[in-house]
Order: sequence, then structure tokens, then C-alpha cells
Amino acid sequence: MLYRETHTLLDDLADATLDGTRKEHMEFLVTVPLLIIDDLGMRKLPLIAAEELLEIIMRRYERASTILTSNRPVEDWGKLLGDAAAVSAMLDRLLHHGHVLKCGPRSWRTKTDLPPQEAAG
Amino acid sequence: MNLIELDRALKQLRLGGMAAVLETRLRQAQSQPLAPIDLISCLVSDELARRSERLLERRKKQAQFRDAQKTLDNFDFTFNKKMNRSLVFDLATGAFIARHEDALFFGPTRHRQKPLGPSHRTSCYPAGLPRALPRNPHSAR
Repeated sequence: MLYRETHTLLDDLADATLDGTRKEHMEFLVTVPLLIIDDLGMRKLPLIAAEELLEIIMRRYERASTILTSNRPVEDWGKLLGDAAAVSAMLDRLLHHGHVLKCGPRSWRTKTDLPPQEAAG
Repeated sequence: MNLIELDRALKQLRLGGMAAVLETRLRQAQSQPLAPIDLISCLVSDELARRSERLLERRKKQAQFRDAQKTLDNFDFTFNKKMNRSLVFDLATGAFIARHEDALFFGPTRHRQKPLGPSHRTSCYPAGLPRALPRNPHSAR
């Protein structure tokens, strides 16, 4: 299993590209049985984010499992990553054999701030 | 051998789990009728359980989860009642991994599902997931 926040995943890949180990690093990313990509949308991502993520998702498609979390709706991903076509291709693969879990609408992090009656829903 | 010598010998044999419970198990064998094979079975089970726990802890540490202490056991499903609890537990079995299926977790803007993401990570470990890669796979070589 490999857990990475989205920006860290991309930073690691950028570092590997700089030191000439991109091929090896990508091989790690696409073969690990479960890859968790956390927090897509939390931070501004590099311009090649869509391309990198698409390569990872495409190479993992039907070969290994990926969990991707995001606080942004899919409609925003094209704008977020700056490449609607790449996002469409990614989602097509992720959703084909994918399970979609919608969390919320309330934030667990604000739960302790609410009065007990309201927290109980 | 006396108890102290036994303890030392077990540790030398790297059977620390057995050494930790030896005295307790011996007292148990004395207080209730425990056949020799049952005593040995208990000791071996204790050793296996300790090794399994330590392996899990080592893997969790290597995975460098951000919220490693969060698990589904302490996840409050009642806070967002409409969430698909059944799907959460299905995913937590890890069965989707063998089928090479994926999962997307969404929360609306400003609302976070972090407590669930980390919980899934830690709950998949007992399902026997392969070893986690360290944050920098290059450092493992």
C-alpha cells in the first residue's frame, strides 16, 4: 500500500524526474496493489499534474486499485487541473470499476464546535 | 531451567511474545487443568499474536499515515447519517483490491472526509495488504 497526498505524489515524481529515476519511481507507483491519492483539490498543483495523474491512473487501470479523495466535485476537476480531456479520461477509468462514496455534508472537524443537540443531528 | 533462565532462553531464541506471557500461562496451567499440549498451544498463539501486532505496527509506521490513530472503530457514522455505511465497511474488507477496483471519496467544499480516508487505510492492513512503501522509495534501497 502507498499513501500520498496529491501534491506530495507529484512532488516525488518531479524529484525523480530531476534525478533521473522517473522510470523506476513510476514503476513503483503503478504496481503497488493499493495507491491512495489524498486531497485532490486542496492545493494548487503543477501544470503537468493532469498528465502525470492520467498516466498513473491509466497504467493502474484494471491492474491495481486506487483510492482518490477530494473535497472538490468532479465538475471542478477540469478547471483545477487545467486539462478537461485528461480529467475526462481519468474519471472514465476510475469510475468504470469504481465505488463512489460521498461524505458529509457536515464536517467532522467542526463537530466538536457544535452544541450537543445539533451535533447529534 | 528456572523461570529466569527460561525467559532468557526464549529471548535468545527471539520468542519475546512467549517470554512476555510465560509466567501468566504457567500460573494458568497450575490453577486450571491445562494439558501440556494446550499450554504449548497458548504460548505459540501468544507468540504469533505478538508478531502479527508488531508487523502491523511496523507497516503502519512505514506507511507514514497522517492520522494513523484514526480507525473505523472510533468513526462517528451518526454525524452524517446519509453516508453509505455499508459501502464503507465493504471497502474496509479490502476485497476491492483483489478485484483491482477503485474508489473515489468526495466531500463537498469545506467539508472534510479525512477521518474516513485514514480509517480505511488502517483497516485494510489486517486484511493482509502487502508491505507499505516508505515515503521515499529510493531510501529503501
